[in-house]
Amino acid sequence: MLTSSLLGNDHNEIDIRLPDPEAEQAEALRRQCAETAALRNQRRLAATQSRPIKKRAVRKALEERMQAKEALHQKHLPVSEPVIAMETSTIITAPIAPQQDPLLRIREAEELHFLEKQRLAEEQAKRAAAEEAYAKESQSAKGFCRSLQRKAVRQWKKEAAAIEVQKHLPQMERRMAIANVLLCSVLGLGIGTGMLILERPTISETENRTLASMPSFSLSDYWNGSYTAGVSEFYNDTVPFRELFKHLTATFRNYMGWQTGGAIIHGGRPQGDNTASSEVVTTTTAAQTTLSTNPAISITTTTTTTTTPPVVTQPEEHQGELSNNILIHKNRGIMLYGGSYRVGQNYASFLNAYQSELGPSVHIYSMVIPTPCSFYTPEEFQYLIGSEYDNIQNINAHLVDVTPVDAYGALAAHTDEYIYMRTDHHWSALGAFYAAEAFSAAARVPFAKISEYEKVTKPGYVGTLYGYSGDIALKNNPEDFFYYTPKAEYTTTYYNPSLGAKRTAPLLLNLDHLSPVSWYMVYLGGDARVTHVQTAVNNDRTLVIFKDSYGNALVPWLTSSFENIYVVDLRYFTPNAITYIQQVGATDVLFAMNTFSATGGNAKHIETLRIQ
Amino acid sequence: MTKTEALKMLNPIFCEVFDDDSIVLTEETTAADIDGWDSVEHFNLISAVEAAFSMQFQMREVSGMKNVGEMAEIVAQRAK
Amino acid sequence: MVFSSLIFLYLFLPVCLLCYGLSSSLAWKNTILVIFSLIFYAWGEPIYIFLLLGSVIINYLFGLAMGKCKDQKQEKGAKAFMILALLFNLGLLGIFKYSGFLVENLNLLPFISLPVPSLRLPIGISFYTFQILSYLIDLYWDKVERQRNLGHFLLYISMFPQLVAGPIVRYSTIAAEIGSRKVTMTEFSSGISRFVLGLAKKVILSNHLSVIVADFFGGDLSQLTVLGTWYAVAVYAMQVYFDFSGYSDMAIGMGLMFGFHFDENFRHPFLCKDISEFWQRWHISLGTFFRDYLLYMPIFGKRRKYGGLFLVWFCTGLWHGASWNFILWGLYFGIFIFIEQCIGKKKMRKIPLLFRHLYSKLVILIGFGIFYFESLSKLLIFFRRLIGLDGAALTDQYLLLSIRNHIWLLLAAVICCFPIAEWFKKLGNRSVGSAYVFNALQTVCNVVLLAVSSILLVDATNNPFLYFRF
Repeated sequence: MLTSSLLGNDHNEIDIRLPDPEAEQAEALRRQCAETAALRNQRRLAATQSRPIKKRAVRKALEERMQAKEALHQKHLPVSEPVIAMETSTIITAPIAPQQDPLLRIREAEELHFLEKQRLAEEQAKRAAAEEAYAKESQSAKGFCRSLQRKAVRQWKKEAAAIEVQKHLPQMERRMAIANVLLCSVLGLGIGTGMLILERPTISETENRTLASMPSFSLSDYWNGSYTAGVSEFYNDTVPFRELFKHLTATFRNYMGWQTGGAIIHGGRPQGDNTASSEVVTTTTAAQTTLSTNPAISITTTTTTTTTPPVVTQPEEHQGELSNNILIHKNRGIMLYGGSYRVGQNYASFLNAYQSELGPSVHIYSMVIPTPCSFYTPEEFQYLIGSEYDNIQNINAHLVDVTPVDAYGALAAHTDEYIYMRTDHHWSALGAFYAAEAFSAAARVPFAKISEYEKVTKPGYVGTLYGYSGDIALKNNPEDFFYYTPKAEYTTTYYNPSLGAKRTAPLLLNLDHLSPVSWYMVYLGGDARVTHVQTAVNNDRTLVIFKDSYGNALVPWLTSSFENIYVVDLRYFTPNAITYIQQVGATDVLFAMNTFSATGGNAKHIETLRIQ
Repeated sequence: MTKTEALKMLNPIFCEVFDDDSIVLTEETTAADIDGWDSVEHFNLISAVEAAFSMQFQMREVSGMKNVGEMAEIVAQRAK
Repeated sequence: MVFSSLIFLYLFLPVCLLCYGLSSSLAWKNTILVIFSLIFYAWGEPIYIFLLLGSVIINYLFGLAMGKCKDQKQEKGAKAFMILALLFNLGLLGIFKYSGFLVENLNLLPFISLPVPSLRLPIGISFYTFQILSYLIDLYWDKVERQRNLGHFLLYISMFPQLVAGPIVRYSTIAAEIGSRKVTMTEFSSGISRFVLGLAKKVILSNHLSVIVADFFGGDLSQLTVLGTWYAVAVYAMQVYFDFSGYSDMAIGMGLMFGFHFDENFRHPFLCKDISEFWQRWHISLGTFFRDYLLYMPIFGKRRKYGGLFLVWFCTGLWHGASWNFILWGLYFGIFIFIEQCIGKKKMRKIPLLFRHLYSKLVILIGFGIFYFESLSKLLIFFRRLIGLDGAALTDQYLLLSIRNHIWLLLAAVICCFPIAEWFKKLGNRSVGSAYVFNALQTVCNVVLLAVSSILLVDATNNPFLYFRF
């Protein structure tokens, strides 16, 4: 090939552009690669353009990437072209003198050709290697690239969106801030002005008290801080629409937990020093007899010096008969009893003192009345409460010459009747009936049957337990309040705690103008008065009742049993009890109160009345 | 001792306290430059530096040092 | 006056904000703020406000004197004033807060029987004393310039958002802002949001959680079960967190409303992995105060590790109350911090994450038990119940009932221990649309939380009586 072309050439230049098949192949391959790459690029571009990417930034980024890839392709293109061109030009421009030996020329040409071939082979090898590498890379990268690209597009979209957000953020934030400030200010200022101009309530029906009033200014009050505290109290207490908001609060609190069908305890568990735990220790000096009719419960005494005795929460004075530990179960409020053998013993000793001072001519009776806790506490919570039965038994065991009245037995026999109120801590008129019946049997006095009374029912009653527990279940399930009017004849006279301000009034209060929560005051109109009921009974029996509010309900049932009934509340009486008993010529004295009073804060009043 | 010397001698202490042998201190190095340099580690660092150079920092210096350069300066002045 | 009361929310704060907003110049704004702050303090402390004012004036003069000494390069003079100021401020705090405690403990010694003084603690004295000290010490250390304007200094100390319940705001943090600040609408709005969040934390979460704690820990502890004890102390931890961080949130929010930027005081402390991290997330302002001003005190010579740590944790405990259980609490945490320092961060990080979380939560819960029981005998009963001594039952119906009765509250409380606000914010910033949605949601939340909290506050004066007082 070489000689033929060489001999066939008469030109000055020696054209050594070799019709080399390998070179041609390499050339074709290169061209093909470039074409496919260009095609691929075009296809990609077309694809991206067909899917309109709205964000200019993203599109721009894509295009840039395409361009970068193009540049990369350029780099991968075989570099033989310029090299060959250079080579041919040097070879072409190298003149060979015609005078030279043709063989030398041939040899030189051969050498040159050989070198050229070598060079071309190297180039080709390089090209092939590069092509291979590129092919390999693009093959493996093809599939990978596609997913990468999708990921990349997503990422760029996210970044572009973030850039957008950042761009618009200050303006948007400002707009939303204005909205936020406006709405909150409207609410805040609205409530603020409302609290200033709307009328403020003066009493609270659910809490059964008068609300705080604006204190009057005095410098001394200011200095000791009570003036400003009073103003705060007034402002915070007398909120317009207070009852509505308390109702909403109770409803909201109901949703804090899961109450459906279950129970809820408000105010924690009760404390007592007679519970069933075996490690209870007391440091009292009086020896306590181990006493129980219920074999499961026993009490042991050891005197220790280290452990502090368990705290018996003594309720406050005006709440002596009521505790804040209230279990709500099946829409019934149950005060949880703690109990105290110690205080029960004190109670017994106080009654014994009355008996010893009054002598055998006066019969003293002790009626400690159980509360719903003994009969309606669900079984799984029995362990929380003290036993009213045992406490009553403990008291009875310590009485000397005083007759205990078994109110517990009387009520226990009728637990499926309506003997207690559901939403109030008091018993019902029916419960008082059974207890009064038991008392009259013990006192051996006549007793009228229930048919001799007229029942009055008032629906819509929600009692004290709602105010104390705040449980919406009670408010949403009112009950019927009922009482019985005696058909017997009697007159009622009322006195204030110092036995002044005498006036005649009905035994049973007119409830028409009284808010439901106070309906228990139908009996005697409340506690803070001394009552004298003069009946048509002629048996020379005069009864003095010392009671807490439970005792009020007994009085109508005894209007056919005693000639005279005097009713004294333990907490509201200033004269000396013994003198009073002797003055009115009492033949019988009944101490009637619930267990909370007897083993709680009210018991001490018994002693106070005797010695004051 | 000069400041640069102190800086060079502080380097291994830093590497040990922060458990990072790649730490290279310059005069401008601050807490933001070293990973894990919080108040707890600062306490360890101060203790270590004080122990190494048998010196004590004043209270006002401990929280007042802006960068390692200042620490090196104090060390240079007071090291025994 | 308490932040979470109707009179503050709807009488004091709106009037103050209105007056502040209507004031034209910064001088007037500062004056309004000072006046309202003094009214706020005098409302609760009609007599001790004079103590506050006196303390402010005297410390202001101390600051001027120290500055003058520094101007004249009299280091000894500056030092003298510093010591005098320390004695004065710490002395006041000591007398009012710790004198009773000190004398009680002295009386335990055989020959001493002093009458125990029972001074009433002025509100916020722990906080403003520390703030004054931060100013003076920073001044002594040449970190701040002395405040020449008595009004500005009074504003710094008496500003009502942070006066009574923290956070302990350093003078250096807001020194510049006292003299010049601007409230943007966005900041005011985020201030409101922050404030409402804090209020909700206190009124909706903390107050109701405290009822549970009182049910279990309130009376005698004879009937506590093992799980009941753990349950109650966990609830207590959340109660304290929401109470304290709620107040801090309210303070920071109100600060923003007035243009001040306080530092964060809580950063979701229950997410911590160990105790050192817990204290970098809990009551941050106190921790940093002690770290900067107490930790490196060179009184223990070379043994910094032991002495400084002991001092700091002793004081941390003592700051919280004048009772041994608080000191015990501080030292308890100090021991764990010390242990963790000895182990070293490298090894701590190698311990599996779950174990670290469990460990830290355990230590924190027991710590809160120590925090609760001021009576050491009750504390002992608590410890014994935790591990089931004294024959305590594992669980009982009362505990199950309590959980069931409060299940949604407890779930909400646990969820709110996590940084849900940040998560929502991140979700919101993904696009413009979602950002609008997030902000709208936040506004709705603010309104709802504010309304609910206010309604709940109506019940704050609940005091039922048996019979109508005629």
